Amino acid sequence: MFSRREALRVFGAAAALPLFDPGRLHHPLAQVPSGQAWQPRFLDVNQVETVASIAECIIPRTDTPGARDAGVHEYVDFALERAEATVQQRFTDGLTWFTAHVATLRRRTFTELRRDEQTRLLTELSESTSSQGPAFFVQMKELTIEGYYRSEAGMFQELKFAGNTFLSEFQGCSHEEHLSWQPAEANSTAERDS
Amino acid sequence: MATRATHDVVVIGSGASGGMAAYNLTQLGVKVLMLDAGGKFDRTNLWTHVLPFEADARLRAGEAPPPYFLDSKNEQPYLTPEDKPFNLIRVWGLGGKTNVWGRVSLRMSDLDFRSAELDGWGIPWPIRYADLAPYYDRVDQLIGVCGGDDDSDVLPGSRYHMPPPPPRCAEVLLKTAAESLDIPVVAKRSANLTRPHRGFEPCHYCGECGSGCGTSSFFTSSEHLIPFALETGNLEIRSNAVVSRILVDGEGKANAVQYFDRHAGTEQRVNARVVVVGASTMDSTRILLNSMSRFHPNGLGNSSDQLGRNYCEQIRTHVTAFLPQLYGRAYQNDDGLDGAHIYIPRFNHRRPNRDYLRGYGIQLWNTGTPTTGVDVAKHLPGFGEDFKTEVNRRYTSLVSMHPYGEMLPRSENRITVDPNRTDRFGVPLMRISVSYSDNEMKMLREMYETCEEILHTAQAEIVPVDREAYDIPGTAIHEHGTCRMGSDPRQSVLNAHNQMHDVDNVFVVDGSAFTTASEKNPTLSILALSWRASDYLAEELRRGNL
Repeated sequence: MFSRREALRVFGAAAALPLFDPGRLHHPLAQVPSGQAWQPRFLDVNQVETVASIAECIIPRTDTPGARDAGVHEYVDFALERAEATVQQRFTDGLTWFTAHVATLRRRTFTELRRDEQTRLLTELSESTSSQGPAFFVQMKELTIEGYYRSEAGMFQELKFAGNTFLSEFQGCSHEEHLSWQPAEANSTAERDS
Repeated sequence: MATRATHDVVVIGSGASGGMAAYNLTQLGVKVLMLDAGGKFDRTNLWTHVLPFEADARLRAGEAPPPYFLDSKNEQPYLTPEDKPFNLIRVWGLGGKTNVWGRVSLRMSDLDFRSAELDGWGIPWPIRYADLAPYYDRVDQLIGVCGGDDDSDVLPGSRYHMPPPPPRCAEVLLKTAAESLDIPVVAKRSANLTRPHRGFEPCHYCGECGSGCGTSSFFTSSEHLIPFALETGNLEIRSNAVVSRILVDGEGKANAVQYFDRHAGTEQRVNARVVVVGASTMDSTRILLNSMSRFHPNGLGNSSDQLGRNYCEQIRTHVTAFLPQLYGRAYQNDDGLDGAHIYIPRFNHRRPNRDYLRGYGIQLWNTGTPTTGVDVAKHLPGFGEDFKTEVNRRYTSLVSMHPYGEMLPRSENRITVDPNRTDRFGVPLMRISVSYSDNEMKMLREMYETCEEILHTAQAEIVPVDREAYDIPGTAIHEHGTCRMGSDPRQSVLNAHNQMHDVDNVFVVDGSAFTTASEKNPTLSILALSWRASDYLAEELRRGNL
């Protein structure tokens, strides 16, 4: 099927990404471009650190990677860079407000707080009745979700995703508990009938 | 500027309708010139097997997948009233929207063709299921459609279905729940090859059809029709030809097509004995409305004043839920076809007490097909370790229902052209004025109720919905009605063979010809209608009637 050169390229790509199902070898993957170390394009360095800390509170490292491990801050920077101007502005305003809010409240930056303090602060924020706090939290949570659950760590290590591959047959459901499942009312009818 | 050669047939558009017309006509020995608003998409660069994080990295590096979707704003804007938003989704390029279509392949039935007789709304279709059935058979055999052996008054069966893939766990549970409510559930009919067919490999169940298929295992006009038409030697394709008008001779009959080169902007004309219009509903209508002349002051073939009117499609919404039976279940690769493996055909006509006309069917994509986990996480409250655990627990349990309800054709829902607002070629822009009516809103209420009824029966946890919400018009990409077929020339633009009542050498073969939208996805019917119309066209040519 493949020329030798193509095969080498394919296997090379697979070796670089060992988490992929071997079935994916049916589809030559173009190499993801690699180059210099990551540099933010939208956020500044302090903002990146704040974003990474908030994201890590939202999806922390457990026995699987957390948001920081998964590079969620890189995703947030990427998504904002490509977002519409109104979305960018909303985020920047929210982050500025958040930074000032934390400074007023704790006289330190969010990153300098202990994790339990960070969590308490975010809980208050998400539950507050002010307009700005919850709005910023929701935007940050959504970006974190997108960044984490679309990441290599999120999909493969956390969720054990093994799809988007080549199957020669589709198996479908073969679980007795699903195939024989009946709604509650149908069950009670059946019992009455018997 | 005018080229001297006259083409037997000029086909405008290369998607399902234009592609099928060109395929059939060239097989029948007719010389065809196809005008395509774009070029061939680079199929060596599909991102079908590029995972989200890989895609991000590529985008950051400045790479891009094939640019299927037209940037309407910059290329061909359309106008809408401020309070009537419309979402027009276009693909300009070889194969049109079939490159990325949803592949749901449903036959319309006499409940659809006879709807005006049954409930008194609108005009009757000039054809019946029996007229189209032989063509549905041919289309199923040609393009390859998988599906079950079901056959009903709503959804006529086919002897030519390939075996459907079995349902996923979540689909098994929802099917049982719906059937306990006397709501039949069938295998989804999809134009995916589940067996090798005409030299094409079968589907490999990667679940990413929407990004284009590298093995051409679902039907596209660009891979499954046009190469076969080219093989006959009877097809010439002119790319990047953005058609503006159909021109007429001294008797009001079509004799040429005017277009502009998409990149150079230069005006060109080609002479034609017959013109087949298949530029998709909205653009076909725009072209015809702009084709004004002494003979056709309101647009080509518009003596009825029906051209541009009677826009119809479907009202659509979405309900999401979690099935507790699947909480904590280990991941298994349930990608399958992109989309559901089951379908809930219309059933409301069997139930009493409806306060609205017509009906709806329910699709179920994103049901039991865990992918990124984003959809799961976005529907859950909180954050932190418990949140992460809960997302993981529910990862395989997400289900979604997507009812499609027929929108009635109404005269005031219409497309016009605005002589004061022109595109970069100086051609008037189209104005779309469409909104749903009370009938659709009543149906929407029942659509929500039905989804909730099925989901409650399945013991699902339903994500709270805003029951007033629905997709804005155009989003389903099922536009119809603006150049409708009918027996009465005073009330319709086309006859029973998609031929203009007023101009017998113009045929319109896309969704705009539909007299009603029905609740069904239209592409299979477009293919069948275009095949039937082009059979008639070829025969008329042979007899010297055109």
